[in-house]
Amino acid sequence: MGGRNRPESVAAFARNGWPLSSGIGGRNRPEYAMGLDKPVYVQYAIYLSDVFSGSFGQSVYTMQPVRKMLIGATVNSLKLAITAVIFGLLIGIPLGVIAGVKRFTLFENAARFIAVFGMSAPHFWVGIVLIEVVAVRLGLLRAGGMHGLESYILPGLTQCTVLVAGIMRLLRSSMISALDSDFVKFARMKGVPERIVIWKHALRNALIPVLGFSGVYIALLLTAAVTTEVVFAWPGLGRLVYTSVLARDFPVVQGGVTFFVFIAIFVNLLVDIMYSVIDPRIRLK
Amino acid sequence: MGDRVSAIFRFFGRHRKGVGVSRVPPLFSSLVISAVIVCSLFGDYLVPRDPTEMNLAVRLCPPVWIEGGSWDYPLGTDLLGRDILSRIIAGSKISIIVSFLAITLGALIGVMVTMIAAYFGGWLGNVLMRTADSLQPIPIIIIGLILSIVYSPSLLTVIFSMVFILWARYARSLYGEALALMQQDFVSMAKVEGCSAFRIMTRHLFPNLANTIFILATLMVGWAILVEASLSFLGAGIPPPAPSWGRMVSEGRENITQAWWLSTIPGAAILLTVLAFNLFGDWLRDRLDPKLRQI
Amino acid sequence: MSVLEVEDLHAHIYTQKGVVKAVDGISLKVNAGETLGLVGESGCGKSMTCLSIMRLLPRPNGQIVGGRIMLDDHDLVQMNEQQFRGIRGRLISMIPQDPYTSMNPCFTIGNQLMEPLRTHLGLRKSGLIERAKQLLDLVRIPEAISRLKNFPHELSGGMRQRVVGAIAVSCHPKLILADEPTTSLDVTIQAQYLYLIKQIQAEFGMAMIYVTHDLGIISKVCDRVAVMYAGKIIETAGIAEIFQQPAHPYTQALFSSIPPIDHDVDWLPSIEGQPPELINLPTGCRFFDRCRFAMERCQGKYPPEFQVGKKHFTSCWKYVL
Repeated sequence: MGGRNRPESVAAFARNGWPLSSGIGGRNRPEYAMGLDKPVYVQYAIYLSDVFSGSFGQSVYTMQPVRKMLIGATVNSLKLAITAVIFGLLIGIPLGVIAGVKRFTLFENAARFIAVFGMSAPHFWVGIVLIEVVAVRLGLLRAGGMHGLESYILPGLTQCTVLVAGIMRLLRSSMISALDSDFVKFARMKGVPERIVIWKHALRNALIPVLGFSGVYIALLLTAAVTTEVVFAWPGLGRLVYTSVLARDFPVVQGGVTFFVFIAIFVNLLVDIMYSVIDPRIRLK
Repeated sequence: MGDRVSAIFRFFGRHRKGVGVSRVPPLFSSLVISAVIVCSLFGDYLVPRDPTEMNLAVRLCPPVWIEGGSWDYPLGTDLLGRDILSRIIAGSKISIIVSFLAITLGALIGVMVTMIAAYFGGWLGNVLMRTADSLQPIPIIIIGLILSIVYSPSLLTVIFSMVFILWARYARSLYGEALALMQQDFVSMAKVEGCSAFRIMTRHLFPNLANTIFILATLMVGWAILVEASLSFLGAGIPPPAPSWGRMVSEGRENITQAWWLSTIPGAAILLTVLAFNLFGDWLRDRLDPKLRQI
Repeated sequence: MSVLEVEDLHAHIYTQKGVVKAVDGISLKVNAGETLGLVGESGCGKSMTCLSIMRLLPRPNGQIVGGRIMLDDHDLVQMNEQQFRGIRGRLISMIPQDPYTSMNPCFTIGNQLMEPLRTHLGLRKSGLIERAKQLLDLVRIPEAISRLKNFPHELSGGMRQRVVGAIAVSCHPKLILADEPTTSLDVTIQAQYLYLIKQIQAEFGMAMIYVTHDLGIISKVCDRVAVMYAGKIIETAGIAEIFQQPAHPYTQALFSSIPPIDHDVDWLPSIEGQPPELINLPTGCRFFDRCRFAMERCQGKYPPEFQVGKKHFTSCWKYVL
């Protein structure tokens, strides 16, 4: 199960001069044991063969099998991603409905401003501020790590800011289309109260593309949460790669990047599928 | 109290008749953008103090509006007694220069690839655009991190990691338009007249794409600033002594409880700048090309 | 006894290009049990008139800017939204044009049918289902109980339109506005549907305004006809008079474009030109540039309404001495 560390399995991009340039030790240095002295293309070929056989080697730092670490970390990132999407929906849907329903009013401008604001705030800063204010000053929630349900709240909130903007915009345009549609007109003709027209008739239709978008976003968030994970010491994939980079733990870095690439390809596929399904609905009149 | 609340609701809820986009750029954005650009260009002359000057006697001085602060150091000082206001002003240089450079370079490459793909079409176009597509979801931060350890962090690594993805985004956004342009008569005419591919691309394609390119650029600036800040925060950005807002946030983290302003203020600077650029980009896009309006 | 009286209604739509005077001074009257036909070409304002009566003009650009709509001594224009909601769907209801898009694809037809019953009549649970079934029986939809659980896309067009009709009459309104309800139906289904509507109308003694551009339908359904052109009503008459003695040149041209049933013709007369744009209306008669009787005074001022027969009125300078 990927335990033994193949000495030649090192990141393909470990170029000449990088690890070999540091320090002393002669030919006993670990880099030589890992086969970094072999030509790059040989290293790369070995790397590929390892990846395809599913073995990622062993962490230099923790001596644990890398694959286990990576999978565990990915699962944690997934948990964070799902939390962020839930928060994004909770905040973004009301904003989107307001912006779509109350067009040309200050409500709409306010909602759009909040959305842009969310998109403009750096995650790491939001995280730090939230920790300081909520966890330390107010003592309400834990400051970091992943223990128990309450520790999901702050990281989730931090990570959802960009998503809120996306959902708000998407829902706004869906709502505008839905509110313009014949069946909404007919519901009004029936004398249905406006509140029900909006929240039952229009929203039900308008939510469909939003949910699709959010589903894809979960996958996207797997790879986009590095700074949040670092700030909250969340044991996810991004943080794992980051700490491994700092610690020069090559096998983990290599494995982590491979994971990232695969996730990226997977997300690409998802986005393609999503757009082919959702596209006819988003088309604005 | 209830009247005031309902008055607020009524104020916010009143329909504004104007449907069009205002001709004047939004005030807040323009002010902030101008301020930041001025700081980045002339920061050296504008700083009240030397941003690298350390004065341990005044370390961790709070901003002026808090008890203990003074106008000598309006935004307080950091752990080494450096004036934060000056460091903020100096830090704008990095944010602006890095992002502008990355955007320009990314645009250049992206536009070239788009034009080549659109002009020649066939398998070349296919390959190019597929590559662009596949680069989309790759997380920039990771690339930046990797580069920062393969080669030690520098302006080059930061810009490269951004340009690496940026060209693909430009290419994707411009491809459709470029293809449509290729179908136009004036291109066929130019071909008939024997114009070289290069000439057609520069003379005919590019000017028509320029509008979109510019709009895309304004939309990406905010993103680029955030990427640079994140990389700096993680230690993979431009190395010291150049002050960078992201790194300032990271440095202030340890002392956040005693001196919250160390992290909060540089972060707020990032937020305001990106916000201004985003708002400006939105306005510009609504004004110039409603087709690109964000869904 | 008149159910609805519209007096000098004006409705404007504000666009970036200017003000569209969709309804520009309309007056009409409908009695209980009577069907008034509203005829005219596309864009003349007939749908907008119905929407104005229902106060469903597109927001926020559409507004009623003048006139009165009297429903049994209450002015609908002056009412606030709360009061009016008791009327829309209950005392006045509308049958929209397109059954395919009018029903919400996400909900069952039972759900959509029971909605007005719940809102206006306050029925609950078993009373709701019983009444819904009755309504479906009324519009001759077989297997009513199981149909309630169907979704709109599971029904044929004719059935959908009948369900829409059932929804419209569910609260026994006094007035129904039918906006070209048969346009999207097959001809064979059309006849059935019209027959059904007339039956229900007779049974409940409802007044009806039937909007259409199909002159054949007018003859079958309507008691009186109002002809609209460019936002105004240019002629009102009983059904017989409008066919036998159309007064306004536009009406004459309209009715002469019906192909005769008893012999073939080589070409159908059509009216040259286009109606004026509702943003840019002329000061005089709006039919001036297409009218074969046009005189000088037609261009100067809009003709007042003039009586040309028993309950037969028209706005044309030809008849004003």
